[in-house]
Amino acid sequence: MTQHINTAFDDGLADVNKQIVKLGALAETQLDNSITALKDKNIKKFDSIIQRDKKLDELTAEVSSSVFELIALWSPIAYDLRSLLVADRVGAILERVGDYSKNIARRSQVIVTEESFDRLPVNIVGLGEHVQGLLRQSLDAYMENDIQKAMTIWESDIDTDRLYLSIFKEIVSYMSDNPDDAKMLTHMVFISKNLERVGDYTTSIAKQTYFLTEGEYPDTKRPKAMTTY
Amino acid sequence: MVENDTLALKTNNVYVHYGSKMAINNVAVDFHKNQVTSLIGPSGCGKSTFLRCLNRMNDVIDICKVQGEFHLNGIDIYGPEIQVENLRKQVGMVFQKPNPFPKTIYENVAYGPKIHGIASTKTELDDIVKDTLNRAGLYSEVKDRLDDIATGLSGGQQQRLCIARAIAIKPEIILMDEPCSALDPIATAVIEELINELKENYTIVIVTHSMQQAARISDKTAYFHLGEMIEFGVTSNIFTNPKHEMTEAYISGRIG
Repeated sequence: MTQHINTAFDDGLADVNKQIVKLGALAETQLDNSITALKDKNIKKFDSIIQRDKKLDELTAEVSSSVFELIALWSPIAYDLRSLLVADRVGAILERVGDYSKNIARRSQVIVTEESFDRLPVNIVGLGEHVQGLLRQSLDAYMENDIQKAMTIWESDIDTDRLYLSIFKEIVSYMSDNPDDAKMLTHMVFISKNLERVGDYTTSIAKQTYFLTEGEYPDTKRPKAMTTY
Repeated sequence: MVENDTLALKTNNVYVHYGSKMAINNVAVDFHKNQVTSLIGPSGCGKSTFLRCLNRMNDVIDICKVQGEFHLNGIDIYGPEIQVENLRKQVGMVFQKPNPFPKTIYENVAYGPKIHGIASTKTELDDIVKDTLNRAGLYSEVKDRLDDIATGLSGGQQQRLCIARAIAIKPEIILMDEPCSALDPIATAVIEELINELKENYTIVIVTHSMQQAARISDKTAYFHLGEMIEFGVTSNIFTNPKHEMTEAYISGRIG
């Protein structure tokens, strides 16, 4: 795409992209920290994740405000309009990723001190690292306008579903044998579900990347492994 | 968009030359009944030249040579049996700058019906003037001063009077060449609303430099560049997802 004759709009769009890069980096860090803190049982880190979520909210609001201003001042159309709409949507998605990371931190704070925590065979960290990879790839696809990469993520959500489903079944099975750990195990179901939702959001970023370039949404339904867990 | 697929005017293989200079190069556009079609493109792209072909306004330019098919309800408007005056009764025109006759408001509207013999009595003419001014959204503003000179109206009112003058002789098609370029935003909004109402009864072709205006009022949009029609399609598609890079560059104000 060539630059605009009046380059002030390009400057505004470049600023929005910088804000998204910053927001994306923070959302990735929050998710990474929530997973490593759970792995390392790092209580201090949980607190800093919870505190830092406010920063993510502020950056999201900045993106929305910049997008709103550019639409109001420039009345963009076609690709320009899609760029701004998608930036706003990706901003909102990253803010949600931050919310899930915060929720993981909150729940992890409760469960890592439980005596039976270390005995659990479930691989939540593995699911977390898988989803982390998807988030990074989806943001790369968006920043690079790479449809091929975006569609790979769109189609790979089924792997996230399968990992989550396997964890869910393990927890349910463990719960029936260890009813005293029900509270901790319920938190673990929620943590896993949060990670699975982050996986869904990475496909939303991929979908928006497709829309940004093609002007329409992918016509294939996203492959899913489950519907009711 | 109005769901009407009946063709009002079909053009095909249109070429226009001013002397040896080609102004329109192999253009084909179908204009459907009760739809508004916008012609957009940079200055000198040929959109106004093309518009003026549709009611043979270019006939008066000696060096202008028009070739191609122009079928109004299936009849060739450049055919030997066509009388240009009658064609312009069927295909009216509104220009960039409001150009009311230096006569009264009443006479501006009554002139066309009188010379085309549409009204046979004074009462009939009065009714046509009132009805036409109503349809042009002007009657309530001028009903007490129909005998005032039209040039005393505001720019927006003058332009609506010109639209009234065009529709007074019951055309099928109204051509508009940048009808709002000399008007303020409020007068422009009034004209745009009027165009939206008029399309229930007329087919409208409008040349505009305002992308937002084309997006707001038209069902179809054609993008012209250097005498060629680059893209033609449903307006919402042209402005959300144009297929041609040149269209995207133009409507987005990019370096093409």
